[in-house]
Amino acid sequence: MSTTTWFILLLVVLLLAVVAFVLIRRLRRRGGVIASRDKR
Amino acid sequence: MKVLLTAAQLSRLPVVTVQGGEDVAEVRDVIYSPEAGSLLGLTLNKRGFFAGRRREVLPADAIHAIGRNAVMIPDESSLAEPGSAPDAVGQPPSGRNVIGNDVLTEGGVRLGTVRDLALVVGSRGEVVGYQIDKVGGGEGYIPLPAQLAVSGVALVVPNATEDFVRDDLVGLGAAVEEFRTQLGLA
Repeated sequence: MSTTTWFILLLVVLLLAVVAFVLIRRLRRRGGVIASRDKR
Repeated sequence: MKVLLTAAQLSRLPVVTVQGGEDVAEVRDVIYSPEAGSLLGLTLNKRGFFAGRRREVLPADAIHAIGRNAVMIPDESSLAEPGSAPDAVGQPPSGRNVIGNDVLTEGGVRLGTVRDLALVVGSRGEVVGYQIDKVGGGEGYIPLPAQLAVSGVALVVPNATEDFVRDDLVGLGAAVEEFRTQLGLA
C-alpha cells in the first residue's frame, strides 16, 4: 500500500476514535431516576 | 406555577442562579422518595459538551423553582457537597434506577415496564405517577402511590392499579385523586 493509503487509514482510525470518545462521554452524562430507600 | 413534567424532561435542564443568572450545572439524576411521592434532589453534570459529572448535588430544599426550561436556585452556594447533603441525595443508592423496571401487580400480572416518572413541579417537586410501556403496546401512566415495593428490578403495585392505567398525563391527574381515595389515603 502507498503512503497516501496508510495516511488515509490512519485518519479514519483517528476519526473513529474521536467519535467513540464523544459517544462514550455523552452516554456517561445520561442520568437516571433513582428511588431512595425509604425508612419504614 | 405548577407544571407537569417527566423525569426525562427534567434531566439535562440547566441549573440557573436567580441572583446572578449563571448557568452552573445541568440535571443528571432525579432522586425521589417512592413512599412520600416527593422529589428529594438532583445530581448534576458540569456544563459543556465534554464536561463530566459535578461533585456537588442539589437537595430539593435548596431549589427555588423548577420550570419547563430550567431549574432555578438562589445562588451557587445552594449546591451541597455530598457529605453535607441528605444521604439519599449525597450518596444515592446504587441499583435503584427505576427506568426499565418491570411493573407487576401483587397478583402477578405484568402491566409493562417503567419508561419514566411523572412529576408536578413548581416551587417543589411532587411525584404523581409512572409512565410505562404497556405489555400490549403503547404507553400508559399509573398513579402514585401505587407501588408496594421498588427494587431496581421490579415495581410491585396493588391489583387495583390495573384499573387506573391512563393513556396520557392529563388523565393521570384525575386518576391520582381517585386512586388515593380508593386506597384510603386521601
